[in-house]
Amino acid sequence: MSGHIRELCERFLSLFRHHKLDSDLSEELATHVEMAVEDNIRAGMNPEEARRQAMIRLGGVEASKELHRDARGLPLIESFAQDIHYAFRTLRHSFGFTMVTVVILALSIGANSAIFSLVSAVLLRPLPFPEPDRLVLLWDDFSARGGFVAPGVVERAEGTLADYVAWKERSRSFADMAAFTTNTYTLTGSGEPEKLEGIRTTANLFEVLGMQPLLGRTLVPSDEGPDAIPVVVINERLWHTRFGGDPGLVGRTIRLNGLAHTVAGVVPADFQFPNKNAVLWVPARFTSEELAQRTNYIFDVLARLKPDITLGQARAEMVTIARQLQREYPSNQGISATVTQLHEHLTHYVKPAMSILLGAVGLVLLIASANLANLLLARCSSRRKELAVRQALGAGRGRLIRQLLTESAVLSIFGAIGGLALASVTFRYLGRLVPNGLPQGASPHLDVRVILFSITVTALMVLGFGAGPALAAARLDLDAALKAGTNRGTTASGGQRVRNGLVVAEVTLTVVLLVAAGLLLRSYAKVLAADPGFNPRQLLIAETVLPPSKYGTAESRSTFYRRVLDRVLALPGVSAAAYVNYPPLMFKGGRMFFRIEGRPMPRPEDSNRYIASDRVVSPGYFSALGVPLRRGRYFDERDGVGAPSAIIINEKMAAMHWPGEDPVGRRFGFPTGVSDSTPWFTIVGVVADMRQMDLDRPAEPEMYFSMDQVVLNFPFLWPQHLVVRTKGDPLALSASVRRAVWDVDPDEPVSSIRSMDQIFDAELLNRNTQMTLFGAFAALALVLASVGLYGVLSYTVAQRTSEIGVRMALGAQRVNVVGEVLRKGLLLAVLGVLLGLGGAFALTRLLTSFLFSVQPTDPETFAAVSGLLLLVATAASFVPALRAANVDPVSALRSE
Amino acid sequence: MTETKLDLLQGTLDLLVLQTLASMGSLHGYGLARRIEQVSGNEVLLNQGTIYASLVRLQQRGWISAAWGTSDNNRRAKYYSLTRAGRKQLAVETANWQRLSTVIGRVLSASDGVVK
Repeated sequence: MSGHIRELCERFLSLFRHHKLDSDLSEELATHVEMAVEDNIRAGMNPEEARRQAMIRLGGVEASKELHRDARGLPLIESFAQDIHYAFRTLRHSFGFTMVTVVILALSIGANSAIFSLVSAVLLRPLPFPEPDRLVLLWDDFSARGGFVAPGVVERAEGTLADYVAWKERSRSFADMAAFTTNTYTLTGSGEPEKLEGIRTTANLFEVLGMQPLLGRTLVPSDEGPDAIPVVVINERLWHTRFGGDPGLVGRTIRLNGLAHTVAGVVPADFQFPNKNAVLWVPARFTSEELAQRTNYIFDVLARLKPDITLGQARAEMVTIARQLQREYPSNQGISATVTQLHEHLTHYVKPAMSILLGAVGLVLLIASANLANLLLARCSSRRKELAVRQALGAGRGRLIRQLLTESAVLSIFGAIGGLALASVTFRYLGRLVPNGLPQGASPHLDVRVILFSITVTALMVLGFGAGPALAAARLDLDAALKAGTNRGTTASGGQRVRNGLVVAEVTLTVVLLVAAGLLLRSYAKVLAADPGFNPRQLLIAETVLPPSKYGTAESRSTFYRRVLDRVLALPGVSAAAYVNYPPLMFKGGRMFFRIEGRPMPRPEDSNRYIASDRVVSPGYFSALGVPLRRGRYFDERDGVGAPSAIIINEKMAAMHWPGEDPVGRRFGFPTGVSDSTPWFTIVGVVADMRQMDLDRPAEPEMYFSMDQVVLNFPFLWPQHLVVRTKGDPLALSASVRRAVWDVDPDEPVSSIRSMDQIFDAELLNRNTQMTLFGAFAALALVLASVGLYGVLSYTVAQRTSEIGVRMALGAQRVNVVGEVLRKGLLLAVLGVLLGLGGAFALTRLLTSFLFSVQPTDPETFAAVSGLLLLVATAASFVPALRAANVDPVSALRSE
Repeated sequence: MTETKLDLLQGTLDLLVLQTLASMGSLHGYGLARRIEQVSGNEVLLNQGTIYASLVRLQQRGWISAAWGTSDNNRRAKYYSLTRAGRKQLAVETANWQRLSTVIGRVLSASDGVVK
């Protein structure tokens, strides 16, 4: 036994001294031959015959060496090294082929790795909290009422505080439960005043999340006590940008909305909860009035499931509690409750986009694989002679297959490296598709998972496109290949069929991708062309959030707005200016229940009809935005503080509630949950519809309040956006607008200065990104498919050079030869287009939710794609066709 | 007899090499090949090149050792000789071979009539 172990070690060691071993052996064999020759001569042979016989008896010097090497080394490893060495040599030899292959591989693997890195970062990476699976959000479920009007109709909405109190008291499924809402804060004191987004939360939020501070402490229940001093927890980013990372900040006070808050602690930068915008957290200290609110669905409720409770159990318990609440409170009628996982909530709306991107990029991979298989098959056929010679010299069939697979593997490794490099370049761009609520780490990046994915894809491709040629080689008929004499010998018609099939498949998949890209492109164009209901050009938006402590009264705010507007209007280059709480597209919420005077209180099941989005505007708002008046009048000086409460509605709302009537003069009010209604508001005008919430959704019912007449004293109803219509480039006026505001109040932050064009771009970012990616994939597919078609036709022409030569010698016309090749190319293309249109017809409905006023089976898109593809196919067929026509009969025949 | 020579069974060449070295002391590759052919009465079909594969294998197992030396007519040649482990191995393999050939002989004579 020890002999065998020793042998194995020796065999291994021999790999490292093969030079010495080989030279020893050569010498030994030389001696052997000389001795044999001498013996033979002595036996009476002439020297020539003596040497011949010696060699015959030995069995050849090289063969003996080969036997020796196999016996002493590890033949498998050595031949592998040899295969790799040989693969490199072959690939270097056919540089063009190698480059084309590696580029195709790099592009397809790159595209796939890029999309996978995005999916991995967004969907596969757990949230950075302990036991993130147990973190859940609680919702009011409106499905029994037919949905709740948020942007569009949704089945669930954030809870009310009254719901939160009841849920917390009555449920047993949760270890703890927190409620929070987003708020804006003005930070003043050191440096320029700054508007910040903060979270007003019950103090247990950090405990529910399991979040540790970087410095100091997070919030504790005593921070919510009636006489607790106001505290704040800030984010590391804010700590650095605003306070220079001062370690002594904890314990000091900063001014938020004019009030002193003690900094309790700093949390790490990657704590981005509930989204990237939030940079500070203050204890909510909800008032008893707030806690009694039953219809203000704006509070996020976060809970941690108890360890032994499943999501299903928690849901069941919440439904039971909701039933109790329905019986106890009329306003809860038709509202159930539901539970979702936090991660699911943050990512569910990007899942469809991720799936279609994965699907699209998967098609690119298939096309690339088909293309490569074709390239390798063609190459393999032209190497038939080489392979046959190697086989005749004694290479085993298995050895040949291994050699070909090794070549594929070497190509793939280069492709994978190129692909990962390409993918890395796209990470920044793809980051645009990461949902805002996910933590910092959730941006696409190169990690083990992505690398493993690329390796797997590469391995599958090696098997996929390497196996075909290898099998073809295994079937190689030695005799036929050698007899054929030239490397354009007869081709098996089976091989030709496979190649044609692969090209048709490529065209088919390309058509599907092109149709998808075309539909998205048309949708994008239609969204851009859709009339938003206002004139978005040359509009400047600036945010000036007033701190409630300083501007608590309507009069003080009114004075501020008027003075700012006066100064801005006096600026050269400004044609109009106005104030609004949220201009179009800036805020996807802000809706209120209303009831109409003289009509019964809306029943809960009808409540959807009695919700309208509300905006608070200064008198010049509609003319500044260019929204036409349909009836009545715009707001003016008559609608000031203390004047009769006025309201303007849009056409949609007028048509819904006063069809065929003039709504001007009608009155409505707002149930608060505490009382049935606020004072009545009188409709003074009807304006045209505007796309407030989304460019790709029709207008909702809307109502507008005069900025001087507050319906409820909530700061989010205070006008905080200055809208300026300019004569030239709006952004050129940024500095003077900022100065105009500071002339009125130097402590007032002026933030987020943007043009409406920029807001449009941000609004269309996802659509734009998806369209661009699909466009890129489709373009890549088109190039691959045309290369594939070109390759197959070129190959056919090369194979048939002599046949064409004979026919031309017999009088065939060039035109006929060109026509024949073109016909073949177009036949393949038409077949692919037909199959592709069928595939697209079946598949594009998956895109429906991404389209805008375009049907998934839009005939124009289908027609355009077919046309484009046939055009490209003709172009790709033309070059081989011309080459066929230029075959010189004489030289073609001579080479035979 | 010389028309059809015997093909060597797998592994038997190693045994022949060991035995030849045991009886001859040390030999070079060509000498070994010639010797095996002579002793077998030229009945063994020996592809002489295979001797070298056998030699390197036995060497790696530690059963023979090799050293450069000078031949009768002043040629540098590699001489092989049996090691102590090789001698032991030869005894084992010889015993194995004899058992095997006895068994095979017995089986063949028992089924003698049936085959015919």
